[in-house]
Amino acid sequence: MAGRGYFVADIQLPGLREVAFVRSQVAHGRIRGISVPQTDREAVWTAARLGPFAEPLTATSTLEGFRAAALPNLAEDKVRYVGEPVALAIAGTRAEAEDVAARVGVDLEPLPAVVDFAAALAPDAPKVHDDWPDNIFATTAGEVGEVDAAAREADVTVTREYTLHRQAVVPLETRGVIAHYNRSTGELVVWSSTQTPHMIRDMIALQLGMEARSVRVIATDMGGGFGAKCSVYPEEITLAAIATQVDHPVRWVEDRSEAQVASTQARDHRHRITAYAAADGTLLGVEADILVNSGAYSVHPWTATMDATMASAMIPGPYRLHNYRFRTRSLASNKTPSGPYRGVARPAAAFSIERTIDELAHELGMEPYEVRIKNMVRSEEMPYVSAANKVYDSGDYPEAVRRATALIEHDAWRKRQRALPASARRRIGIGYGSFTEQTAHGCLEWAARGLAVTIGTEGARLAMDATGSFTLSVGIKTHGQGSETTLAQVVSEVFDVDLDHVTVSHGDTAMTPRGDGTFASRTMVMAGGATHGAALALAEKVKRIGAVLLDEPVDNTVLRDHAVVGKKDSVTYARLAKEFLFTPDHVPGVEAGLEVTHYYRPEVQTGAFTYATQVAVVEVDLDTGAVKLLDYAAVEDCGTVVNPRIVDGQIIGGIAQGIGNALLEEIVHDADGQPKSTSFLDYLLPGATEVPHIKIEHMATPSPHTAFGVKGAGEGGAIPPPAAIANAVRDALREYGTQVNETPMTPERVWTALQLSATTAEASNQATREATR
Amino acid sequence: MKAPDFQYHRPTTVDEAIKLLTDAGDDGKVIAGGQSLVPLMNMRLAEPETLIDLTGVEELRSSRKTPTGARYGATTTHMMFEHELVPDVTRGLLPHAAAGIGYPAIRNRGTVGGSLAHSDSAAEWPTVMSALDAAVHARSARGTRTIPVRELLLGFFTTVLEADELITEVEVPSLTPTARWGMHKMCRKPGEFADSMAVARGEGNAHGSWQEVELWLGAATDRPLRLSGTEAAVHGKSSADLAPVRLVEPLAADIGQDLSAIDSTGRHALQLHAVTVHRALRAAERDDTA
Repeated sequence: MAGRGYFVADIQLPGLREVAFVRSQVAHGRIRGISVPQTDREAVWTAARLGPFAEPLTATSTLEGFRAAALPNLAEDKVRYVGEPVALAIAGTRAEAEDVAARVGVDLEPLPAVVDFAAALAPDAPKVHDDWPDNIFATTAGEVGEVDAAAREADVTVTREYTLHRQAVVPLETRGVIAHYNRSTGELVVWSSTQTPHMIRDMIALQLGMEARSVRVIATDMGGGFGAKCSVYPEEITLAAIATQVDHPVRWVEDRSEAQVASTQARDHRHRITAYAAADGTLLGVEADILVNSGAYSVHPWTATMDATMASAMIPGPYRLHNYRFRTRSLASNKTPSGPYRGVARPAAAFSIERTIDELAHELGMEPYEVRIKNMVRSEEMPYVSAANKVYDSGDYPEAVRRATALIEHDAWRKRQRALPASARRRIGIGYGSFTEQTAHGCLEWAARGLAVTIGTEGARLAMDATGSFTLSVGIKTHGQGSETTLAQVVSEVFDVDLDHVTVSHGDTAMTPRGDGTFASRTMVMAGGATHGAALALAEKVKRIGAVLLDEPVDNTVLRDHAVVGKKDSVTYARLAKEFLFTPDHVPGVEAGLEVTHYYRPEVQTGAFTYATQVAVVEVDLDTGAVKLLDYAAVEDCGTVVNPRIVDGQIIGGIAQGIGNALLEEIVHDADGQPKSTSFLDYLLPGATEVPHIKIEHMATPSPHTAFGVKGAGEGGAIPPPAAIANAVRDALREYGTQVNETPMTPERVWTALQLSATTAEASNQATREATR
Repeated sequence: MKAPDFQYHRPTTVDEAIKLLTDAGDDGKVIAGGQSLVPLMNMRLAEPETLIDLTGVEELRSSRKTPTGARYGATTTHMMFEHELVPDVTRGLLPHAAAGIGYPAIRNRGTVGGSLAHSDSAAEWPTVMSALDAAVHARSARGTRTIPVRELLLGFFTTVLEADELITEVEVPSLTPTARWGMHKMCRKPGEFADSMAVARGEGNAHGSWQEVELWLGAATDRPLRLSGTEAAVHGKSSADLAPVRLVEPLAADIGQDLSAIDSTGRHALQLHAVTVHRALRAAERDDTA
């Protein structure tokens, strides 16, 4: 940490003016009128004034029956969530812009709000989108095998309903946008804290009706994204459009209370799961009814069904499941639109299947980890096509569980658990969470999920300059992942150069080849693949140049220690580059140019599956319901590990966010759809005191489908913590039979559930005593 | 969120501060650490036209022992209590309470006078100073007066202070050498405001049971609450004789809650108060926080 980051909020431009948005204060309402004082007319933009310069973006889907609705740049006739932009004000400073914004009057007719699952589905529910018959974006369903037959065959059946409440994504750097129209070049430059600069550029051009050659997007340093910065936002389009109409650059920096309502949110899942198993613990079938509250609008390019379709695809988990039936419904509500968040739906899918595996184990009197090992896909079955038609590529899933039991010292914790006296006011529990995660999927996968943009390629350009150093330009955008290091490692691997001779350029569309961005745990596989391709091609050329200069056959040369080394002599990259670029005539027979652009598209598009088993040990305070983590371990396999410290960092960071998901973070809404967690006073994040030391072990089974066998590692850490921690709390409170089916597991939820189960257990004991008397 | 425009003054004497405050009228506001006021201003929930910054007034940051206790300048920071840069006459209660306030950055700036004038019952000083029966010395152009903290705090963000009145000192009486105290703060994570906060204080407990105990609860209502009904329930007993569940009924009565009409959120909050009071009592019995 050198304190040298340069963020959107740090940029200085001559004449730059600041923007404050006027946002809806109600969840649902019809706009009767917007009043702007005469003296503020120049400074204020409304939908009516913006309309001629920017089209709203409709994020539609190819899924059958999908209902589309445009995401307004500024609300025009209705507002549909608290925080929806209605107008904006421009002034010399942000404080002055807020003064102007405060003078804008929004006359609203409040409408009843659609807030939770039941309200959205009620037959007489108010409609979020007036012309829809109900509040459902889309319904999907499917069945593999014969679930009804499995049900008949089953010795045990469990049905549970799980709810993962709504979360904010909370990158520590909030979003921010600057737009500047350069009148001398005709270039519109937009700085945005975005994970997807090329996509933002395309969509700004399209929504503004410009050719994309005139639009340049620059993402400077970023303080995280986690998925909140990879959708196309109204603020980006709006500022870009306004910049073309005013004679100064404009900047908007999202403040924290805005971020808690205006950046896309996540989770808000409810799954009803029924599982069927044989007496020996064999999983026979699973049924899943999945509801996702997707908020008011579908966002580009992910659409409002991203979470639901991912959940249905991943509930089968790492298991040999032959009979599976699902239905998903993605609901519209008067909440902030949902978008991606690290793990995308998989924390919820893992919660559902992993909690259910534990319930089956409890019913059967087995150790939950044994039920996992028994049912998991085995290494000899790879590649394995899952019930949801996913191709699990490689690895040893049961081995990860076995190693996790050893890493956490399962038996020692069981002893400590049993040693607690019944009179103690605390209990200890152990819980497991396993998952397999599709990373770096290709076009076919996105197409199957109905996206209009089927992401699946990535570009890299590698150039050797006249001093023999390397510049790698990539279309992804690292925002804290350390891809500058890991991608440089690929160049280093091919050319045998130190990392400090390689610059990795990213984030500026004018300086990088086209790419889709950094999300979906794809960067190392996709941009790594592109970098590898470019490096191999350039290496081949460098060797040919070296062969000419050394006067040796190419086959005699190797790349070693910053040089082309032949059998007789060697030539450093520095001398080689100077010879070739200053005096090409010294290198006859080699075509000009010392750079290569390569586009990578995986041959197998079903992705590389990372998997892991995590274990949590918790202590539950019976008097308060508070849950404390005593120990935590993760055994994971992200294929070939490119950089162990970076992978460990990803895992620890992901688990920290998963702990937030499990125990702390929730955007609470009241019955009117008013969010009540818009500051860190009410929205609790995990900090150093909430994250225990995490034990990590790697397995590193290469993927057969990717360069170097790497798999994505960005999201996995965040996927199973809610499941593992909930299973641990359930285990701690087993004597009471307390159900732990909701996140976050706040003290209030845990204590209330404990009281309920203790009362029920007491009543049932009483009944037993009376019956046997 | 950025604060609206305001006038800023940084006087160096109390007289000057009082004059500025008087001149500013109802639109003036005193700022010291600013740990509550600045966020409120940035969110535009408070829009004072004039800010009078007291951190330049040296006399407001001086403290001294007195024959009966100690007097702390109003802008004494939480950190100064935490690290005992000012005299402690409470057998460790003041440093203990200060160490639980927010995070180090907050403790380095936030002040005792500011916290009392802000009157948030989930904060440490209102409850602790009430339990200690401390008093504030306040000054205005009209003169000075002494106000017991138990009478100062009227409710959330409301005190008996007039708009032109300034807290200059906080006077804390000494605890006797045999006094016991226990404090427990219940919060979701370290550094957060309390979900519940209790202070128990009493005299020596030779027979292992409480003969004389005073219980104070913060974060339950709009100001710190003396739990007289719960004190009666504790009388003659020790924490070992009492499970938290046995404190729920008297606590509900003290807080003024109807147990039969309570929802699950309210019931859990009450449970937390019972556990907090119980843990404060237990800490006082152990005498290990002193």
